[in-house]
Amino acid sequence: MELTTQLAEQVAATATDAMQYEFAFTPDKFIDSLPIMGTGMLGIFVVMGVIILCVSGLNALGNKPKKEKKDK
Amino acid sequence: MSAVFANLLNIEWQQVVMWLIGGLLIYLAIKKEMEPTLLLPMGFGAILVNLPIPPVAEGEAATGVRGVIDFLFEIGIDSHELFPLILFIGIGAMIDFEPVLTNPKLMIFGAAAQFGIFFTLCLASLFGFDLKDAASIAIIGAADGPTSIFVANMLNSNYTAAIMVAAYSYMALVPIVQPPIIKLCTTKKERLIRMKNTGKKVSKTTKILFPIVVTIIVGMVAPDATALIGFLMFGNLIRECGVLNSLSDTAQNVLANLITIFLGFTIASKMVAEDFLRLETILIMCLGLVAFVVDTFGGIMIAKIMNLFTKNKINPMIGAAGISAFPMSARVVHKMGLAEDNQNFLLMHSVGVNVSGQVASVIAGGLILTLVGALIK
Repeated sequence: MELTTQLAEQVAATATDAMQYEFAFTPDKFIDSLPIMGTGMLGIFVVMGVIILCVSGLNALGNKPKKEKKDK
Repeated sequence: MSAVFANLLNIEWQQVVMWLIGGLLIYLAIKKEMEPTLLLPMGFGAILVNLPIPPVAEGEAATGVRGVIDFLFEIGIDSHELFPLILFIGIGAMIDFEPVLTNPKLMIFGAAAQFGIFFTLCLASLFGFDLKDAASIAIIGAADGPTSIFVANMLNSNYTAAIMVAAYSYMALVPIVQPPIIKLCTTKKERLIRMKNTGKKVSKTTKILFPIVVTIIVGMVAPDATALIGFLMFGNLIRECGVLNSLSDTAQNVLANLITIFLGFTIASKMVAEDFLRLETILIMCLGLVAFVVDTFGGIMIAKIMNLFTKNKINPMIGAAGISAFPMSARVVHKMGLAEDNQNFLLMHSVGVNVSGQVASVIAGGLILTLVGALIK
């Protein structure tokens, strides 16, 4: 019963929060978010770059020709 | 007798609209075969949670069928994002990373095709959404349901339901959304570019080490994405280790399908008319579409830029597959290549870009959580 009460409260709280949105053009918020775009895209390229280097390294190690055992 | 029909008077027009939306989702799942394991339970769930409740039971709305679905949401998504994470084990087991391991450069396209996420974040901010909601809406551009749910829930967004519906709907609509954008951004000459297969082989050791290495790298850079990348790569490790074949098969099929069905029902719990039928929902659907379009544009443009500097030309269409949406996006690009030239087989390359996009979208989700999380604390 406690859980159901909590859930009902959560749903009500969510609905109340959601009502707070008002459609408006906010250039200030847009400008503030630009650094996130720059940092985010840079971050993705750096991480993917590191993964590319690691995969190339793994491929180089994995594809080394094995030395054939000499028959005595 | 009047008591039997009394509940009919409790029907509101908004609920009828939600039944129609539910019906549309069921139609798309059955008739068009668009993500049926997800859209079918979502559609049915949308009808279920919008049935009128007798006034006497209004105060106890969390009991009965709604109570069960709310409970699924509480344990499956809200508390620890359990469903999306378990689903990622199944997705990881489905993915064969060999095409990208033979040609690691393809990962660049996966990275570029996440541009739509960050562009949409800025656009949603321009339309007045709070940073946490803007970031949650933007992650629709990850074209990956579990990542969208995970990020939106971690950021405690007010629009989780609309975001989930948009993410999965656009994933299902990739074959309709992407082709016109690809055609608009490429010339016929570019679409006819043939790409050679590298013909390289990947060792089993590389395939086993790849998920472990990626987990460590992503876990260190974007700690908030550790759970997502960890579960995805664990699924892939099950696939590649070679000693858990039956488990891999179960994860790919039974586990993934079961969790998807529960996920569909759980998402439906947030499709209650009074929360869903709002101006913001339409705006979120539009922003989600922008995210998909800009993702596609970003992938294609990086291919075009690379063509300026490379000797072996790249067919820019494969960049579009970096959007994630595995494996629909790769198939779309492959089919478009065949439509232009029936001897132009782009599947291996587009699948390589597609799985790179899957990894990149998780990294993008982690970076969003890290960057935005630091600002809203």
